Amino acid sequence: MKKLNIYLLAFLMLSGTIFGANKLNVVTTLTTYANIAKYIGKDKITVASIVAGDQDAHFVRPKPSYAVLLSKADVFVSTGLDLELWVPTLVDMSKNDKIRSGQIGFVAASDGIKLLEKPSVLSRSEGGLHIYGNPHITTNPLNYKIIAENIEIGLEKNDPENAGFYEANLKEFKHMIDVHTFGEKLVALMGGKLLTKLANNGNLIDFLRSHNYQGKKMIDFLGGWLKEGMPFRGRKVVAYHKNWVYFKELFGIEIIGNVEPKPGIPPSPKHVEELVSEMRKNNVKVVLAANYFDEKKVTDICNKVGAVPVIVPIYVNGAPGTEDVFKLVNLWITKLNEAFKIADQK
Amino acid sequence: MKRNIVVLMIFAFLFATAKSYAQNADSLKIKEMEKRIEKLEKKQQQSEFQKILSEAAAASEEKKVEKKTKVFKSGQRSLQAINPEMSFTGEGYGQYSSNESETGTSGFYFRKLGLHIAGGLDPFSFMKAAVEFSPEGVELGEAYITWTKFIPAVSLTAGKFRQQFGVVNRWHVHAADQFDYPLALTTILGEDGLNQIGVSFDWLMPAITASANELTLQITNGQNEQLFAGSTFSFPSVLAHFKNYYDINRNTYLELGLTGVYGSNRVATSVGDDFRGRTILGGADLTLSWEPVNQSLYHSFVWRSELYYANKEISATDRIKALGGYSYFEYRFNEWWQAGFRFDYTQPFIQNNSDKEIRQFVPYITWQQSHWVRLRLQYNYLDGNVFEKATGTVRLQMVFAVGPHKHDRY
Repeated sequence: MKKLNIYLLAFLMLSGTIFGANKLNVVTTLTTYANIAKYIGKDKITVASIVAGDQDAHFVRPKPSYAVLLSKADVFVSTGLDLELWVPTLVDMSKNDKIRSGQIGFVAASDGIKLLEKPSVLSRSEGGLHIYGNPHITTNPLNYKIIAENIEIGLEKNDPENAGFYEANLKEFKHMIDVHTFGEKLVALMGGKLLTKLANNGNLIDFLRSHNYQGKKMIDFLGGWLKEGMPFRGRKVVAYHKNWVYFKELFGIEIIGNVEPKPGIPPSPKHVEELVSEMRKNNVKVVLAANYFDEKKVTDICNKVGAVPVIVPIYVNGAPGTEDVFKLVNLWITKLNEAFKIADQK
Repeated sequence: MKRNIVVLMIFAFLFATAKSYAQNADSLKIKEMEKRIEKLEKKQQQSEFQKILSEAAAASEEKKVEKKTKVFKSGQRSLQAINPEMSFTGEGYGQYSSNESETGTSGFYFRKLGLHIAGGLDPFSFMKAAVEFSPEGVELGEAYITWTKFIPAVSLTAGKFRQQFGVVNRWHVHAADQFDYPLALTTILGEDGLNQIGVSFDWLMPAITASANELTLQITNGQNEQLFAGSTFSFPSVLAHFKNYYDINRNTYLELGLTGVYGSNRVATSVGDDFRGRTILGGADLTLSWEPVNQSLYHSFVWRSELYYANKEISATDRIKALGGYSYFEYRFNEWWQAGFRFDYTQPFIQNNSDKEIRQFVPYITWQQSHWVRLRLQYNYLDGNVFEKATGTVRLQMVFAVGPHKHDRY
């Protein structure tokens, strides 16, 4: 009996290895990319990510254990911009040529996304500037559809046999994003593609407000995150770092200033003083920050002007209850609504 | 009478039938009209919706760029965008010393201006180079090409490079955590450490004993003046470094390394013949690093220690044996400030040094203005039985980097 158990165990381990070997091994920089990859690859892939959900993706140490992870990767997904500057070092350390830029296993998640804030002056006097444009693309859920398309291409290139499977999952994921963003009724009426185009051009809300259908204002058909975000549309906030610009584009908040005087430059007392006075002048009641920044600094600023801090993870799994992209965006919107509600009652 | 009743009944029946027929006809007509209205309404809605959709499509389109007369320009002589990445680092300092014969005059110095160049050469290899400008002249710090995958899991580097003897020897001094290299490094490996021309094979091994294992094998000229034959080298030196890296948890790692070097030195004997002696080096390194991943900008702690040992045959009977090491810790308080303390110990690199020793105590504090500019205040207290008196030196160092300068440290 004991012998039989050993054989059984050996068989299970062997079969696990074999079945595991059939799966594409996907490694991503961000947990958000890992989560999207899982929606597309489902049980045909294994996914691991390097940056923790509550970590600043700019500053990751290229540790040897990450190189080991990358050495086994079939597909490597990174933003492809100058967000994760430590990536080339890790790829070099991994000795895995398949995942180098331009090779079959490399996916640039940002490809095809209209980048915002392209700098006109390339100088460090602008702080930690990003020469291709702002790389914090994951704060706009509509960008997830393009990221998913890029990941699907990467999976398909490396596993063409399952192309149909990945394509079907991509379609399903994109529909889920549309429904979550615009609501089911509006998606059924106008289609996700057209709505996305309107939203990306900043015309969606005005369009819906200015048109009627079936005797109703079209804005009444709006649902999903955009409807939930209507209470704070047009309202002013201060952000810690410039990582909410894509969110701002979709949800229409107005960011009047940043805690960092320039990206990557720690705030001096003088800058904080100026920011506080600007907040008072503009009646800014909310400070929005990713949860890897100094919480104390955010609350100190808030206390000075009676504002409410919204400290949230910027990536999937950055806090409990953000296990996927849908829960993450839900959290952003819920926390902002709560903060404005509290601020208005003050 | 009976007949009249029958006629009346027939008449009533006919009337009722006619009425019901007329009512049915009306109802049919109404239904038909209702259908027609519904159809018209649907049609109207459809056209209304079509209009909305076409307006939506129009609104979603970006404004077209106006066609205008263009001046056409050629880019064939403007390909600077494919130049390699270039950056400069600079280092200067002011010092006050209690013993200027040991450290040099008190005053201001500019130590080095480094030009760093890096870029991909082709799909298979990349290069890095560092040229150092100092008041003493220009020196080639490093220049090498790396084939990223020479054979599976192994990269090959060829050129001049700082060698993988422990940890700190690999770094440029501007990237070190203190103003200077540890005393044991400069005393045993030479003023600038081990930095020779040759090839390096770096194998990312299957992780056997740790979270990651790496084996580095370097075959270089034995051109280090102190350890090998300097410019008269004829035999290579061989270095092997074995790295064990452990992820203790998501914030903490431990790294243990062992280094061995074997080479030949060439010393003229008194009778004029060449004596080709051996030089054997050994080293051990330990790093414990804690950095909370979600607060890495604000807090970190590192404890790093290394041991260096050299055994150089200078004649058939004579040897220089020297042992040294350092240990330092550093703590980051916030995004601006970090402070640390290093202890150095070494035997001087001379014969018959068993009763001789040099010690150094090095407290320091670093202010990080940004990722590209930092100032450091450091005190070196140098003592030992090889000196007539102890030396205290205070230095205020500034380090800057301009351009896309990056460090591969972790």
